[in-house]
Amino acid sequence: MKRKAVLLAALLALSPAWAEEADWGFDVSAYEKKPFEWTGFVELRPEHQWLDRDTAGYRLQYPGESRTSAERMSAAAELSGVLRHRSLSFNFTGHASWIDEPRGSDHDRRMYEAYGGWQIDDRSNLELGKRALRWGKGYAWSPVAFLERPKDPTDPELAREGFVMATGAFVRSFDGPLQTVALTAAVVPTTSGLNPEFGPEGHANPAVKLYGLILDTDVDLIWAGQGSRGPRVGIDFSRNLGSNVEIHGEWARITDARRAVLTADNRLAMEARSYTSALLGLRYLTERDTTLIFELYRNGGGYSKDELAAFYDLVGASAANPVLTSLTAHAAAQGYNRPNAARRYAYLRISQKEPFDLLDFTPALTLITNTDDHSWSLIPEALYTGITNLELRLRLALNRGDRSTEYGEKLVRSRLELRGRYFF
Amino acid sequence: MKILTVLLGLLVAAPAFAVDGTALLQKVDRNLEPESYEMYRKLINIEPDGSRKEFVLYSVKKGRDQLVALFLDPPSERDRATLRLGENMWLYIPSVGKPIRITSLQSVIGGVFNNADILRLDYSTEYAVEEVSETADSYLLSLKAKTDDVAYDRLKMTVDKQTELPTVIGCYAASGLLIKTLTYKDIKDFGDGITRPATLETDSPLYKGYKSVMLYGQIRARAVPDEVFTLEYLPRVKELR
Repeated sequence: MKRKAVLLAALLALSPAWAEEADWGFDVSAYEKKPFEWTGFVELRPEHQWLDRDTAGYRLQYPGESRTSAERMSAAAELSGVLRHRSLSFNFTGHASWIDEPRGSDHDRRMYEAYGGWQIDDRSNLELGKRALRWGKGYAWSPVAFLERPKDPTDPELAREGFVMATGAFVRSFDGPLQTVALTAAVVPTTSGLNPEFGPEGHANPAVKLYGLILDTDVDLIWAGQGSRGPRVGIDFSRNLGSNVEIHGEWARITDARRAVLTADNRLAMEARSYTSALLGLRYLTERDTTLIFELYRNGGGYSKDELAAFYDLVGASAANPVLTSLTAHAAAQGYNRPNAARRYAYLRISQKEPFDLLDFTPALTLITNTDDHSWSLIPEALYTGITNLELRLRLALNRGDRSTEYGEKLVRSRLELRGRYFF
Repeated sequence: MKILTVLLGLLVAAPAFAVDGTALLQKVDRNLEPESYEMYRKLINIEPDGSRKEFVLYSVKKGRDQLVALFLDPPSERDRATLRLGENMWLYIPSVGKPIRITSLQSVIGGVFNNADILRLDYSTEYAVEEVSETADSYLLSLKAKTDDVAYDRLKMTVDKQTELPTVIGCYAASGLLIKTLTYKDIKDFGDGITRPATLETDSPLYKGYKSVMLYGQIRARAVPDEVFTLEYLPRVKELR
């Protein structure tokens, strides 16, 4: 009997499966809804940059200096929460950041979102406050995102700051080919202290989005009225073609958009023009768990290859002629130096889940190409999530291209960055 | 006389083939969950080195093909929500701020479970019964996907005769390749007449050494409006709890 007990104890001790199952516990009461819930993260991001001194980006950032590399260290914290009372709620996301770089240290803190919501009934709700609306189906870009700040295609899933607005939404579900209809209306008022980044003050900036799920296809019709920006209309769609393929697209017509343009006599003029932007993309999952995201983007409001080359030439000339320095800095701030300022781009992201049995490890490769001037940015990265609540991402970014091309004129030729993010 | 003998023989043998596979599969579905319900589950991914990752999910299902699931834990996944309407699936990530269409074969959380397992509809909604055989204590149902959009082309489901609950399900690709095996265990009384397995384990020859476990913590019948299963509602699913 004693021998049997010893044998049984030894077997149990040697059995990892038993050990695993022994402490499988699940206390559901720990997950009941509470009046106040919050979550967030803190992150640290050291970065080394290899600089190209012969580029427009360098001359704008480090005029007169002879630096070949730069170290940056940044930290950020984000806190999101919701406070509830019956059908009322208050939601917020606060973001604080600090950066130390060769030109000095800086810090910033702001509310990305802070709005109250009233769920009137199951079909309708009202929201008031600072809100980050996200319209469109594109992953890297969204031409129909009329009420939001532009996203960073090198990191499209980052949270972004919203605008102060009032929104109302109504949704209905049906049986049949038309499964869902949702109508969202928004106003984004601009006054002296409200939404200054949206555009000139004194406008209500109304917008409406009509969504339908028709024949298993998502379709949005979007309208934004004349206001701080010109009138805009857009349409987008998304559909699964099978259990591993999805396609999506967007089209937008923008009227009377204002754009800063350098003239032949070296002035910066504001011109109003109408243009069309479009995006077509797909997401494909292979049998080996490789995910491909591919998008083609036509940015109708962007600068042509010749317009950008003229700007880069002017920045080059400003090194020898300081009179031009303020003009180039102004042109850069007004649009020439913004991310993806050109007309046509292609985006490809390939990510592989846990290759070669490397646990919790997701390598990815992102390629963004300016298809007009054939310059490109290649971003290999590796994400490790093996430690609970900790995410580590190592990323290299390579910018390459001929002189007077978008990525060839970037300040940073190569960048190595490690991002550690702890969630709580 | 010979014909009469054959007919009599067939009548005697008939009970062995009289199992209505479709009705049995529908019964299995109802024994597992009410058609409309809310549910709390914990998913555990166990990796070859023994390390574990846990996720807690709250989900609500209505009717044949409307289902929404919300991640409650860990903090890095909190408030992510997935919606399924038939073969349409979307993922909502709070920082992205808008639902993104995903495919049923994609895995939101890694591990052996994919979206089709986590957002599973009734088996009888997605599969047709092709063949039923039986042993002394179980039925074996051979199931074929009704459309190409279903994650697994065929299922071989073993159903316990006494409880009319599944015990083991083999999931196969169209090529005949075994993709994974699902094993239901630990029968538990969840109240309101729901007595079903509280544990679902899965392993796959494609992920050698990996194992994923789903623990069912609470299942109860609940009816919610259709509008809950829309992209508009997805950011607010956490308010349903």
